[in-house]
Amino acid sequence: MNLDKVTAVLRPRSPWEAADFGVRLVRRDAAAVYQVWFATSLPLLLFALLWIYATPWPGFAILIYWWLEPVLDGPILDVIARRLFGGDADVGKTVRRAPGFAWRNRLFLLTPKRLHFARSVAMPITQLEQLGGATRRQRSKVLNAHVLNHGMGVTVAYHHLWSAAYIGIILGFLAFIPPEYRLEGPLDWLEYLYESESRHAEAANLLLFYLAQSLLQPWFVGAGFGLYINCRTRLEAWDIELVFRRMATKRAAAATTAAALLAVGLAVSIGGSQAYAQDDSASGSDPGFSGFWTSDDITDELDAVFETEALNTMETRETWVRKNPATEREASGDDSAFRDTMRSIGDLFALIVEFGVWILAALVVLLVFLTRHYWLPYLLAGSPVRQRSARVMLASGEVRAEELPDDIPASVRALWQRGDRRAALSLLYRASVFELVRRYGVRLPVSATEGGCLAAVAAQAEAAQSGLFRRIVEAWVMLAYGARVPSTEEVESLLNAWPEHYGEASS
Amino acid sequence: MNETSSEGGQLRELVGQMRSEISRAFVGQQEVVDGIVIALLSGGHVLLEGVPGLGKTLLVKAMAEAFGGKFSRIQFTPDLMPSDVSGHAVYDPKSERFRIRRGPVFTHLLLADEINRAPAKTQAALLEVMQENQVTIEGQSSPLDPPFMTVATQNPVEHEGTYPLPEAQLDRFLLKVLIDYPAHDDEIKIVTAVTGGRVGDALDVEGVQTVMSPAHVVAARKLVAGTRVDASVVDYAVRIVRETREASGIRMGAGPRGSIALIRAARAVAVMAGRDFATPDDIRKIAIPALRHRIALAPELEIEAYRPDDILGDLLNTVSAPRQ
Repeated sequence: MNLDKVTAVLRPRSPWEAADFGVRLVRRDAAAVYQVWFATSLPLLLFALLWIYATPWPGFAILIYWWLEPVLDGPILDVIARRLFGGDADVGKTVRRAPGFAWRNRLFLLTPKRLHFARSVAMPITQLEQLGGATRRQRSKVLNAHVLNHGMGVTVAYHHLWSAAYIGIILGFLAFIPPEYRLEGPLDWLEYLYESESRHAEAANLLLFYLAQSLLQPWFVGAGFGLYINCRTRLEAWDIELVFRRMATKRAAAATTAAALLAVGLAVSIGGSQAYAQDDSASGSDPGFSGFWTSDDITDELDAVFETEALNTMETRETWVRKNPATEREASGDDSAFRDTMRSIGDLFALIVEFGVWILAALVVLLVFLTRHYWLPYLLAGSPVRQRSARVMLASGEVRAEELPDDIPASVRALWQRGDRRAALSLLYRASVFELVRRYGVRLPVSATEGGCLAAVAAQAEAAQSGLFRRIVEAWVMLAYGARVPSTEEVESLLNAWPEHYGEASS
Repeated sequence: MNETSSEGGQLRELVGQMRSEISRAFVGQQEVVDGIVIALLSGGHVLLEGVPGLGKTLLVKAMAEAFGGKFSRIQFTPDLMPSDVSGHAVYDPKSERFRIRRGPVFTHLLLADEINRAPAKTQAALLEVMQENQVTIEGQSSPLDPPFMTVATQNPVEHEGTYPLPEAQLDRFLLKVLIDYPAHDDEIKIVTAVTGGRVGDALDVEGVQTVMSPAHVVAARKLVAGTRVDASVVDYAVRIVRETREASGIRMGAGPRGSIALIRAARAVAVMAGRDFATPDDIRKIAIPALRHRIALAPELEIEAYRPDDILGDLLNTVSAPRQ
């Protein structure tokens, strides 16, 4: 950083003006910034697209891309900083240095600092100042005290703008879809985009994400950099230093001119030189002319400054102070013992609270883990309607093996002979449904009515099973709903055929 | 599973013929025809929803022609008065007495076109007739000739200047039938039929033959009313309706009238299928038309453009079917 070559006006600014200053820096160097952005982000995008099409986990591509986002921020930051301080900001060199920036910023890639709420302000410390460890922490502490809140504000604003851009791009695409490619509902493309398991949908979603990010990411980095620079300008008085440097330069130039004039004068008039030299000596108190400061000059200058109104304003402030100084209280032995006791109690209480909080946190984590069966399906299912669809059980959930007797035909026969005919045919029907699901893998929702069962079995089972099942269902329906009792011979015929298709012998 | 009893066999056959005759004039959309016939056999009324120009009037006229019933059509407008529907008393100077002039509601089939364009007072007058099957004019009650059925239509697109029917009044309709654009082949048949050597674009019901009489319809209604409904089927219908009250995506579920409508309509479905008993399949078949106008979706689902049919379809997949 060379303050002499700074290419913008550095002065203390309000935080939001500082963020705007950073944005204007990006706008000024937009061409270079975006060249660097595309040169570094397109390979990462390509990697994410390859991930979608080449791995069995396409859904992680966006997450991976998002997680690696700080890799893209480093080169942008480098371009803005170099251009501000008049350094070499060659795009090619910056791109080549990108892996180095990623390594310097590894804190934001490999640790939970990735979720830092004011990353745009924190990254310049690691990348531009190249600080690490305790030094970085100390430095961050100093800077964060001034800009953390506003850095978080920049992040929040960025995410809002990003969301608006993302939604806007999607709606723009939807508006321009030709009618012949539109699906049935106006939002069906959105459903396809977010709920389809297609890799193309994942890729399209990633591209939309990237487009919105390309629009805004450099400005986000710039705003954070503006806050950082402003903070340093305030803390390190860069503006004052720059003024002093300008003054020194001006004075040095004046001194050089004066010396040259003096030399020429001496050379031209040798005779009068003594008198002029004496005069120069007499006028040595004028530093503006001679260019040399004496201690008296500085003292006079300081006196003048201290006498200005700005340094002589008197202000009265009232505060509360203890009547008894601390030293007097410590002198009393009783008070000391009491204070030690209270401190011990306080320490114990703090210990209890600290452990209590940790235990509470552990219990919350445990509770969340133990209740995952309840909330995980909601997260995976999405909207309530989707959740309802997911509740369709692809098994005969209401018919369980333990509810069925071992020998179905014998049990049905016994019920039939006892006169409990509805129970007999119900058992035969339910056992058939159960065996079709268990043995033949027929997918039957619990909501399937007799007609639904017949349609599913006809579509998924073999003709033999389907034929027998149709006869069983017909007998059951006629009895249960039509109150028409089938003949005993008909029931016997069903029971005789049952073991062949659904009994143990069939497996 | 078809079981035709000798008692109702002839009526069932006539109902089948009536469906065929209606379909000759109203090409395609068999579900719409079935919905109207089910409502007629159940003694209920139908709310027909669809954009203009899909042949709603033709459908009702064809049905009236098929069973030889009288047909009236009322175009509901914002200035329509209750007396324009039910009738009014007119002073006769010759006899010096008030004479009752009967309104268009005295008919067998009443087409209330765009019912949501009339103010609530006029709507209420018609809905009262639908509920009571009688009209009161100047304190004098006159029963309507059976069979009486109202087919009310609504346009789902234009809502400007309309008076949407309140939920309590929607409940009076047995079924809400959605009428959509015809399929490609059906539309070709319609265009060919209309433009074949005719002037204008009016569809007519000349080709529809009268195969039943109003008395037959009344008898068929009795047959439907006598259809056997097992307790497990009633339980299934009630569980479906109760589920609409507990489902998370539904702001207001169906009331007991919804369960009753399910059973009434399912009995007609059974008769049309040639059975004298209703099954859970009949309930499932008619559940969406019978319930779609009796539920109100949660706002978040309405915003997401879900329709009652979507939610009811999911709901039907969660209610277990009877197996005992």
